[in-house]
Amino acid sequence: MLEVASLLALYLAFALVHAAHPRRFPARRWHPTRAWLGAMRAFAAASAISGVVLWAQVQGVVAALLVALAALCVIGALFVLLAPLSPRTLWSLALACPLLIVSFTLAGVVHD
Amino acid sequence: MKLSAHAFLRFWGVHAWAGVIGGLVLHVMFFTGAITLFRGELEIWQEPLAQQAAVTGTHQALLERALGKLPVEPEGVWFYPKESGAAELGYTDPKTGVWQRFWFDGHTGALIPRRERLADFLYNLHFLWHEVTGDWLYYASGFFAVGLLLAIATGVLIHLKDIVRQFHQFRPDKSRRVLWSDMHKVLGVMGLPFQLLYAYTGALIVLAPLLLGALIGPVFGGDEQRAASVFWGMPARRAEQAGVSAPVLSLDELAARARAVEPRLAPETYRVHRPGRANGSVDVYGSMRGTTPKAHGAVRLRLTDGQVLHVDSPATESALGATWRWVRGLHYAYFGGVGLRVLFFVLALATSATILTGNWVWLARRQARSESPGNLLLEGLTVGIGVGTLVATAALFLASRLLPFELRDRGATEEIIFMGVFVFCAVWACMLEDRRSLWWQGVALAGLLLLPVPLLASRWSEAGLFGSGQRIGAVVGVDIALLAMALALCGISLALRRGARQSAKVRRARGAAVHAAPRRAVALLPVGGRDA
Repeated sequence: MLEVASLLALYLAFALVHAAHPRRFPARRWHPTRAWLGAMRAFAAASAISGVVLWAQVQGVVAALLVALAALCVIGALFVLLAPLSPRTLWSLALACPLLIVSFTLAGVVHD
Repeated sequence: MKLSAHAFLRFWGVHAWAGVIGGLVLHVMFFTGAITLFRGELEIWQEPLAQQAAVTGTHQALLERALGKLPVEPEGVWFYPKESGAAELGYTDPKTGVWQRFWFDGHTGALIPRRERLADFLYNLHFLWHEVTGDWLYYASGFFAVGLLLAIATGVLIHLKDIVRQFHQFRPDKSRRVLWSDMHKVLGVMGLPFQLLYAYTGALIVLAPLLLGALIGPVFGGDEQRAASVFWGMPARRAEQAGVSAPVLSLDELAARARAVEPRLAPETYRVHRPGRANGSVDVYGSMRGTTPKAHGAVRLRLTDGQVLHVDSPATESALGATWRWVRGLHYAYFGGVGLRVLFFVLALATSATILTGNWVWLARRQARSESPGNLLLEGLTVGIGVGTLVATAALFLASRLLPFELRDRGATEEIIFMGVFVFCAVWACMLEDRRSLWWQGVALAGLLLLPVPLLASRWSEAGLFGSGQRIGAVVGVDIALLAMALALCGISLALRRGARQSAKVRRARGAAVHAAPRRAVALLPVGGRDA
């Protein structure tokens, strides 16, 4: 459960980084300010760190760092390739991520 | 950082030629490497003997029963008693010098030669080794890995000025060439850490024995045993005559003594040298608990009194040993569990796609200038080997579940089927004039060949997805993965077919425009070249 929560946190991190650019921002009608884009990058960093921390609860910090790197590579490639083809699915999942991360983390903590 | 035009062209040339020369071989290596990440699961899936309940009793009793069945008295025996499944046994035949491997069925007492080679074949193909071709191709695979390092380094240099943009850019609505180019860059940039890791560790693993051979004289004064001990951890045994028969300690007792010396060791396999002899010894091998990446250690003990002769573990290793443990641990994914292996599997397939799309982009650029026979051959080989690897692997899995286990030379038959299909695909693709539809046809064929495999697997095993017996995680997992791969291949084939038809429509429209419009206007029609 904690592993799934970790992967979702890394997914959210990449989605935020991808969206933190005026041309790639998913909501076309709303033009984000520089402060918003900066905040998204900061949230992305926090999400990535929480992804590493969650995986570290299961297998230690070294394994968590290596897994996070591999996971970001896979998530990044899939996100960029699929975003133009099925944007709603990817952004919906990104929006649902905070709730899912909390749910899986709680489930993981209770289960363990 | 922006390169000068001269440097850019030089690096682009090296990147392109390194990719074109080594790309197709590297594609095969990465594709089979992706499957090899699940070698342990495949070995259980492919052989019903590996799925049976383990016999109760001591390891020593099992080994003695197995040794009693051997037709010869070998100098050394590799013994692998498992928690579940039949035990495995291997030795070098003293007459022929050929390595022999057997299953020992503890329930019936039968010694059964290893008959299924699917997992081994794909594993060996990953580093281009086969008993027919020997070591030269294996060492060549190390140099291909070095070539990949060169391609990666030059690729980074030529894209350095806009590497962040390449990170995020994929334009499927543009021309096919732009689509391949974007895909090449996205997968290449995203997969960069993985590709670097595998190219570097792969080259080291394959070429290290060559390096060792060169160092024995100047560094170790010709002492091969010391060199092996420093490099590999466990010293090689000196050649000596078989000693006299003597009472020896049991394997279970020796494993307990090994654990006493290294408490983190979880004994898994034994390499018994001169079994039952006064000068005999045993290497107790196993994984080390609580190490990242998971380390493998060994303790060598004398058979007669259990005296510890050598310990190879993270606690005793040199700096070289620790480096080597990391190199192997990263390459074999000895960390992160199944989740990480799934991620590495995707990244390995993405690397294959990077290589194939790279060839495609190169060809598109060159063919825009001229259609030389060399370009046509490379185009045929790219399609043929790209698709052929998929179809041949699917055919191998299908043959593995169709051929009877009693068939003599079953493993060789499977290998011939793989190579036959692979070569046929490559030759067929080179002979065709219009290869555009071959991608979706080949991918569809691979998917259709793979689709019945999980169902056919239930012929031999009740432990799989469609079996009715007690299920085993590894067997069910492989069945599900094969089914998912088959469905994914069919889906990709449909998408490729749709894309090919749309391209054909565009080409027809352009063709009509060529006939209708004056020459100068045709020259201005978009081909997508600038976008790439």
